[in-house]
Amino acid sequence: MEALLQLSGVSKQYGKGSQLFHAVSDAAFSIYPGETFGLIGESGSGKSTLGKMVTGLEYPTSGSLLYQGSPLWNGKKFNRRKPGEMQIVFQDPQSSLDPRMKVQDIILEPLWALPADERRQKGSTERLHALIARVGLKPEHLPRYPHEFSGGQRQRIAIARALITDPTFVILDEPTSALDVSVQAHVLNLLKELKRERGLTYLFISHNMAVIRYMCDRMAVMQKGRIVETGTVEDIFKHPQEAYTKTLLSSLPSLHKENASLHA
Amino acid sequence: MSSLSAKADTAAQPSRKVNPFWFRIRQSPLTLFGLFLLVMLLLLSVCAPLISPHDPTKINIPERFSPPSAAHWFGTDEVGRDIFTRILYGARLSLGVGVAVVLSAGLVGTVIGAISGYFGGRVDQIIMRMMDIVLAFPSLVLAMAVAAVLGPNLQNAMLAIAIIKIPVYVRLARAETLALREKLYVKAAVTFGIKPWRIITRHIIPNAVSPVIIQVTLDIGDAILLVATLGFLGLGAQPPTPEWGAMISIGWKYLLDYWWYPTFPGLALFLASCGFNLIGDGIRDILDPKANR
Repeated sequence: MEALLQLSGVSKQYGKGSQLFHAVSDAAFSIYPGETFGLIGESGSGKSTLGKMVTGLEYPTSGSLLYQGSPLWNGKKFNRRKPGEMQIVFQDPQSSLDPRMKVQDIILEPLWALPADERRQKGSTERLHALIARVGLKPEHLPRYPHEFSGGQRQRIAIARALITDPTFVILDEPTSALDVSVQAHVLNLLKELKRERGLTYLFISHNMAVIRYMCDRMAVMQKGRIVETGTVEDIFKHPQEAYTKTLLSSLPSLHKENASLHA
Repeated sequence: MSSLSAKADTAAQPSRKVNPFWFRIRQSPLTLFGLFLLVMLLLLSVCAPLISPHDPTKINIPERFSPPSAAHWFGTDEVGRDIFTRILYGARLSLGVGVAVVLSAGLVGTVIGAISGYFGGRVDQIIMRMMDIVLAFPSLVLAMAVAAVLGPNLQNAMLAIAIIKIPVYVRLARAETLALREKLYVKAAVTFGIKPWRIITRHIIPNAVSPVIIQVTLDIGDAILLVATLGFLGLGAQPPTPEWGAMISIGWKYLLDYWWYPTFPGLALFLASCGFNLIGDGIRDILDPKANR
């Protein structure tokens, strides 16, 4: 099967000379259609920088990112072949929604990157209403402003915004780490269901092992800008190869038997 | 703002809901006085035809230089026009011109500042250096130069004042934009592939507008004064337009013999610019979270 997203030798450096800082060094992995790929690491491990390079917010200083076989970056220029094909849900729904825009305008915003006829077709009232109902919002929420909503509801708005263009690939940059634990579960389940219904492919960035395990098929562990381990979630949780992965795993609370065995 | 309004609420009666903004204004007698001056001025200028039976431009030679009386409250000028009436109609002009000039300068400046801050790099450098050039001149000298080059009339005076007011708004909007550009919702719009122009008009400008509004209220008084100054120097409104600066310009020659002629327009000008400055200072204090009162 051909990879949807293929990274090889991707590096990102900030500054120069003695100030040089390697945010990401020589990262390589592939994401295949239909899977959820987890990217885990502590703060500052470079996982979000990788996400930014995939979405076009930061250019890689070396290496190649191929999306469906064609390069995403041409030097410092981002090639957006099909707008709306790849979407992102950010970590903090407090700041990822413009406080001066109504919910309806926020959700429909990504459509403005599309050609006019496609925008009209995808932004129809029926489609919008069906989508917000699917993510658990009501039509009367549409004319309100983001500050009137709770964190979980805002993240639902952000999810609806990401899905309005019918993307193939969605980057979830710690989508639940700013939410309460009970709300986290609802949002994660929603994301799982949406993935199944729409045949989405996810890149799931998180620092939470439990969340990764619940959501992902395969995963990569990042430490200090390097990918230290890649494999299926099952393998990595059962037979971690790297010391760092073991440290991460030991941070999991051990309520279940299978987790308890990891601490032995 | 939230801590501010919370403070105001606890200080007020807990049972009654008090608008924190209005509450703060009432705390400051000077701001209240400024508000009173402006409301009076606005009412008088709007109701000018109802208040005064005279025509502001009608010449009545037999009654020239008559001192203040019941018929002519502020006396008449060198061709017998009623000065009170001319001041009322002049208020329309001054208020209208002041507001129009500052609003258009604010609008243009905000757009230029947002572009400068959003794109950065060379565009930013060029725009900001141009603004530095404008700011390097004393404002009145530059306004005089622009008005003199374009020709002495009210439109050109307005244009000149708008030009010298723009850089302040450009700097203000640029500083806000630099902060807004790092906001997640702006970055989100970038990842969606939204065009920069749409990001600037939909995200940057609506979120950068608050400090601009404060600056506008502070600047209106100054703009009114500048319009009158250009009028006084003969570079603004031309006779027989009832404009305060132009009235003072002709009237000061008669000050010793007919004191009322330049005095009353001057007083009106003083009160108007006083009112706007008091209000502007008041609003700035209210919205400044560091002001401790």
